[in-house]
Amino acid sequence: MQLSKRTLVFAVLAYTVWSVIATAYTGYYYMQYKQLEDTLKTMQSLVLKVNLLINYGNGTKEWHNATLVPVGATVFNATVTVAKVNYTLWGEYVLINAINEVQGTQDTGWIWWIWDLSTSQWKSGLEACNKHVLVDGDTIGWNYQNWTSTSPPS
Amino acid sequence: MRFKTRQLALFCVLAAASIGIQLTPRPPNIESTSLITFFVGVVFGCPAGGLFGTLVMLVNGFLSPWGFAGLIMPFQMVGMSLIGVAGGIFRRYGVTSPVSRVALEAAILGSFLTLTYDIITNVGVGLISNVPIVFALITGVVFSFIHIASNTVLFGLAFAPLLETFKAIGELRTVATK
Repeated sequence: MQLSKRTLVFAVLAYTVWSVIATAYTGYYYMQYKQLEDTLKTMQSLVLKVNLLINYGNGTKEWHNATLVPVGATVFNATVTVAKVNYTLWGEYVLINAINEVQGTQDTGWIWWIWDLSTSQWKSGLEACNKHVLVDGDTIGWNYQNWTSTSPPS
Repeated sequence: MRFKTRQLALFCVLAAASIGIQLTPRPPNIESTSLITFFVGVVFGCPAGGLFGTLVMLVNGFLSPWGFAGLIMPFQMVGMSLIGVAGGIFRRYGVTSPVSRVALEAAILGSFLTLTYDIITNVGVGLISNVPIVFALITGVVFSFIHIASNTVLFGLAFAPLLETFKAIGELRTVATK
């Protein structure tokens, strides 16, 4: 099949339009991608990724990995973002009464732990959960346990 | 470029129609001026087509519903006059093919000429705003795409019937015999 010169000219014109628009659109989406990447970098400098374990003490455990919380967030802030929390304020300190409607009692309650990367062991939280400021990559465990028990989340 | 009275009247009617439609509030980048300018080029030749495009964009530059065009106006005038000149060139190479073929060719020319117009005006934006021209072209691509797509459809659907109408009223004898 032989193409006439006229047909060829119009085919070239159509191809030119398509290629210019496709190239411009590629550039447009590349620019959008770069802008979003910059925005993401800015956002990443404002948020932390932390892991949260909620151990109900009856064999049920919930992991909330890579939970995003703002810089400066405490263990309490992070917990509130992933679970329904009932708490009492003691002055400036928060005492957790219940997590996801699992209520503490006179003998048992919610105690928080933090994973120590250097020793690869759980360490008991030494302060109120609203006083411990998280850093990126922290792993926190809430353990429903006897108040006198010192066993960390398994 | 000498007009007979009848041709001059027709030219003025087309100019009035084009300016009227151009100045009517409408979605951005959806316009019929390109088609009419191109058609004027086909009917009256390159100089008249070029003049028509320049004139319409001059008026549009001052009275557009989108506001005063400002420094971009010369670029719009050049872009639109090129569309009119292209109509004259199209006429020179003959518009005697079957209607479907004419419609297809008009659609392709419509898309190409709209792209050319958009490149010229975007270059103008780049020069006026002192931003890199490639950046201006890329950021305007969404509007350009709408413009090109709408003009491709408009040229494809309306050019051949317009041509047939003008042939019927005896204004396109020279074109038909080419």
